[in-house]
Amino acid sequence: MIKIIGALFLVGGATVLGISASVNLTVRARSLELFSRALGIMRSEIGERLTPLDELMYKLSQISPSPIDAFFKQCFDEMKKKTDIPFGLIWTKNISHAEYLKLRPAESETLIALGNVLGRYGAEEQKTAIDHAVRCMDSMYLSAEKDKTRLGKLYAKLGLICGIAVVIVFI
Amino acid sequence: MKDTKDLYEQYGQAVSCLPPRFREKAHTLSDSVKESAEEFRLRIGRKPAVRVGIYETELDVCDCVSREDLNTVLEIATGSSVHTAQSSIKEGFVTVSGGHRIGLCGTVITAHDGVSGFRDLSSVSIRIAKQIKTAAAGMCEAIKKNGSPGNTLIVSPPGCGKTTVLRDLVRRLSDEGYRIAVADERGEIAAKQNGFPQFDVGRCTDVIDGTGKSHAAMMMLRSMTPDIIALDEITHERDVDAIYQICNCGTKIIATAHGEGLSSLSERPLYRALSDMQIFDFAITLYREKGIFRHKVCKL
Repeated sequence: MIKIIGALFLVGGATVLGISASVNLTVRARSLELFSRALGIMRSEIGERLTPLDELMYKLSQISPSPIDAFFKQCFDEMKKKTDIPFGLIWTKNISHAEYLKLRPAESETLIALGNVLGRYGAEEQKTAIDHAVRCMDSMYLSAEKDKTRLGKLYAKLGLICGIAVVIVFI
Repeated sequence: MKDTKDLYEQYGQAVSCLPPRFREKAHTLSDSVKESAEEFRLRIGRKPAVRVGIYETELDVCDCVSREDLNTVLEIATGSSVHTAQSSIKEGFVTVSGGHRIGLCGTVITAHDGVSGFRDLSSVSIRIAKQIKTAAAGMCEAIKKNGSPGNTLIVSPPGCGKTTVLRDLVRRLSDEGYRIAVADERGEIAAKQNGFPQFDVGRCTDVIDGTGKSHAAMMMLRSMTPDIIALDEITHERDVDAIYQICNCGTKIIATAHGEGLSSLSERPLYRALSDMQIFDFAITLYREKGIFRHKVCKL
């Protein structure tokens, strides 16, 4: 009986790990898609309405779906608290600590590079930087979607198979 | 008496515009420097400096000012929204919370309709705004004609306190009950934030900022029935035109102008026109004598 329970735990645990890896791929793709959309809004707000960055962060925190709403909320809160800190530092810190977005280093770096331009230069320069970031985000999103389709189910199945294999080896 | 707490607070506000790596050293300067500091100067490739009186002293820091530092000053000054301050940047300055003025120098980008901004900043000055509630002591009575204030021109070279005197004169006359309209183009007189003046400009004072002073003055002349209109630094023909129209409407004017004295003003065509109109009743000349601010009021 104990062996059966142990075997079930091993199979269940390995399957959860597999599913979790699969979910990470979904979250990553969603984060990239939402960032691309948010950057589009950012572009028109900065370019057309000259919206101040704190107001923009607040707006994006309100209209963006999870998980990126939390990111913009954090940026807004820190801008309000630390008015004498360059925005690039706040943005970079929050991107670096945003494990919940499941972004890969290259994707984070693209966003960090954008953060060093936002609010620091004129509207035209910011629009150019946002356009570049959107192009990168879009291509990264396509790649993330492919990974999700290709590897999502595979990871979940692999988890299950690994669990069964471990059980067989132990038995 | 100067309120030293306010002076420290104003100094602290100006320090918070510096790049973070220079702030600590600026905070460790002596109290006397903090009380009398007039501006910070940051020039690319040089150490940041603080100006007290006519002397500039470099801060004892290891690093020199970089281009990134200058961009950081501008970013902090605009609340990380440089794009919202383009119209002011075109004029070469940004006014920050507390009324401190950040002056900008660098390579100008010229578009078809004039200066559109700066490509490479090479230096910035952070001018520390101060409210000194004794700056215009005794001047209110001196500029009165038949019991009410006459048209007054405040003249001084840069850095002798024109804006400080104008602000205090506005406060004093306003507290006497005169309705005063302030055309605060650069936001230095009242330093409004969210509609609230950061400086005490008196109980009967209305302020328009964010637009040219001549435009603001005409708007207030039409809408606020002021007894006196105050504007800082006559620099353009349209300012002279506005002053002429204001005076024709019976509203008094208090304005400031850059100049060593009245004689130097009359050599400049813009002021010669004003002089020919015989608009001003009084002139207040501000100057420094052995580092001490002095003033002289004369009837014209």
